[in-house]
Amino acid sequence: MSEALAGRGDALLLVASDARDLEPQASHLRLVYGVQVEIVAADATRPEEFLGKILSASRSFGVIQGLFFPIGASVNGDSGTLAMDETRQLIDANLLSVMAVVGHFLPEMLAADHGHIVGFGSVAAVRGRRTNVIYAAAKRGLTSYFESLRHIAAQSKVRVQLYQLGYVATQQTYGRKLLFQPAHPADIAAVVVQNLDRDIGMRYLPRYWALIARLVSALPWMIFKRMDF
Amino acid sequence: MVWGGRITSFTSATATFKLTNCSPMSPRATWPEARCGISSFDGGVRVHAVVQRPDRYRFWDDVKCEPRIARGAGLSYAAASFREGGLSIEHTSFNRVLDFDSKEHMVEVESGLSLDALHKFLISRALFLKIQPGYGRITIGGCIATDAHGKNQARDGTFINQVAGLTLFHPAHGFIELDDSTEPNLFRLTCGGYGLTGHIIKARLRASPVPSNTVEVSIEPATDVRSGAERLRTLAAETDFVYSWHDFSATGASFGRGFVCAARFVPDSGPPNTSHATGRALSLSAASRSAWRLPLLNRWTARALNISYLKKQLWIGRRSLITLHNALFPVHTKQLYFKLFGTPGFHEFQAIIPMGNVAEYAEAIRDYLIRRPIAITLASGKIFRGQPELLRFTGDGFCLALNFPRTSESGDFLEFLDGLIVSVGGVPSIIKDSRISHSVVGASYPEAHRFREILRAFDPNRLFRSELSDRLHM
Repeated sequence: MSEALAGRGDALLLVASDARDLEPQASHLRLVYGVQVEIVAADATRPEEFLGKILSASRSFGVIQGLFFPIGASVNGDSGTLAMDETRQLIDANLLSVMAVVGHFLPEMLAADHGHIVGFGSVAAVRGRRTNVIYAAAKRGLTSYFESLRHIAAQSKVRVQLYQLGYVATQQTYGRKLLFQPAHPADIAAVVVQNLDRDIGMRYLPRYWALIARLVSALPWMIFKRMDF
Repeated sequence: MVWGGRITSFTSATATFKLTNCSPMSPRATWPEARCGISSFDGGVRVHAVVQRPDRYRFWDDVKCEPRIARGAGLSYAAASFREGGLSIEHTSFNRVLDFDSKEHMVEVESGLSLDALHKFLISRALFLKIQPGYGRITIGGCIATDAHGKNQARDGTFINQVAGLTLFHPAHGFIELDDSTEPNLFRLTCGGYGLTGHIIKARLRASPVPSNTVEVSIEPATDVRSGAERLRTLAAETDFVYSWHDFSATGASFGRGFVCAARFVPDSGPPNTSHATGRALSLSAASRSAWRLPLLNRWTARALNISYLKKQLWIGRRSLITLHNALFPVHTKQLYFKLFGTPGFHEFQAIIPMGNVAEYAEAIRDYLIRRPIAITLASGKIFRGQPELLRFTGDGFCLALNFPRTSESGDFLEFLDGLIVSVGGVPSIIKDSRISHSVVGASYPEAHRFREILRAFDPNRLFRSELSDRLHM
């Protein structure tokens, strides 16, 4: 995502948990695309601290005109019996941190009548299953949250978009036997950048997941309850 | 096999490495892995292995002391990046430009960066790497590990000549900064060490100014291999890119006829062209190469292709202009060629032959092919210069690469070539041949034993292993 935005010439404030990953990425973007890139090492499972570090860095960075959240966390064993601290971490990383950051910057964007807020949900949230229980709940919450954001920003030129991602070639899918070929993150990013100024609301990526989501939602309970996926 | 707590040392010219942080082997549960079939690019080695493709630096925090090998784009002809049941760590997600010094023309990159991506970065600054192999998907780490050569080895040497330094990671030693002055033994062991010293994490490379973005190619006919080699020797000193091509499917007096191709930078107008000249998708992989079940190259098709290719090159004529990108990456326009070998694959036998023995070598091959015809689809030569050292593919002479389909007869031909190259005092390439034996390597690489000794001193537990290293008893 950062490469696609840098390719447009956008200045970037990159946020991730490990500075060792941020520094090479920032160097690469500065050298290859010649854009301003600052970094913030912050842990999304601690929303207050996460927001605080971003606010601190944004003061010297300049006006934030877009927020992109290719962020998320899942854990093995998320099957309805997670301990409280793990449950909280999943909700914090997938939902609360996003809310915290958007909640701070949204008024500025609305006042400027300009901005982009782009979230990334998951097809796992289409219908609750016996796996990824908390993760899917947090992502479903994200869907509702972005619906509300879009409603709030409806009278402005602030664009609010949520992409529901199917399989993407990340560590989450690496080595797994999947029904469909995972999409390459660069291809996803290219679509996001292409759609930036369009009022599209929510969209599935790759697009065929819209049909799959519809089918899964429409499955009768008698069938759905027997499915193991 | 418990290595934890064991303390061993490796003494280089300037430092002693202590094996201290090596934890006992334990299940690697934290990073996803793929259990998959992998094959060498030539189709000669097919195994099932475990591959991890980390994309975060914390991966190196909890690396276990278990046998492993680094993997780049997986395009090596030999099985240098995997072994049966082994663990391969793919570096392609570490593919960034980290630093650039415009005054010193120095660029620091992660080892998974492809040649094509680096060329795109450098050419926009009117720079390029003089020494690089002909396919853009190959990674920088792969070029270092195999000490790849470029388009004029005799003048420019091999990849090590443009490596100013590198960062190596070994689970027992941690991160080690290497260059030719501070850690010369380990540095020279790593460049051309086939990944056996550890993971190459980063490299600092010396780029060269681009004289222009246009290259003038001249083609002149060669009557046979020896005359082609002699002409190459003259041209290597005068030109920027030079190779010869010979028709080994021809018979009688025509055997080995062909052409010598030399190219020079010529002044062009305007800024360097930063676009990718061919616009072709770089789709070659070991899997895609072998996708067509039936091989389409045999004695008859090879003969027809060679005749038409020679005619075309000579017809194109004495002089033509091409872009630097096309001159550096000729394989981009020839990806189909490798697919024609189909699922069975092909062999490459590349060897440096002392100049005085080129005629004898070519005649011996001709005589064999008269008795037992083999479809030689490619015979291409370059001039090499250099002192043999460790397992680097270098030396003085004429470097001839032969391609032919993998068939029931090809094994005998390779055995013949093994004996021939040893008898003429030549050096066969290790990375281009997925089956070359340790006895042939031992007979033709005078420092093979030294390589083994230094490697074992640095890594007594021999953590980094591949099919190649097993086969060569490294």
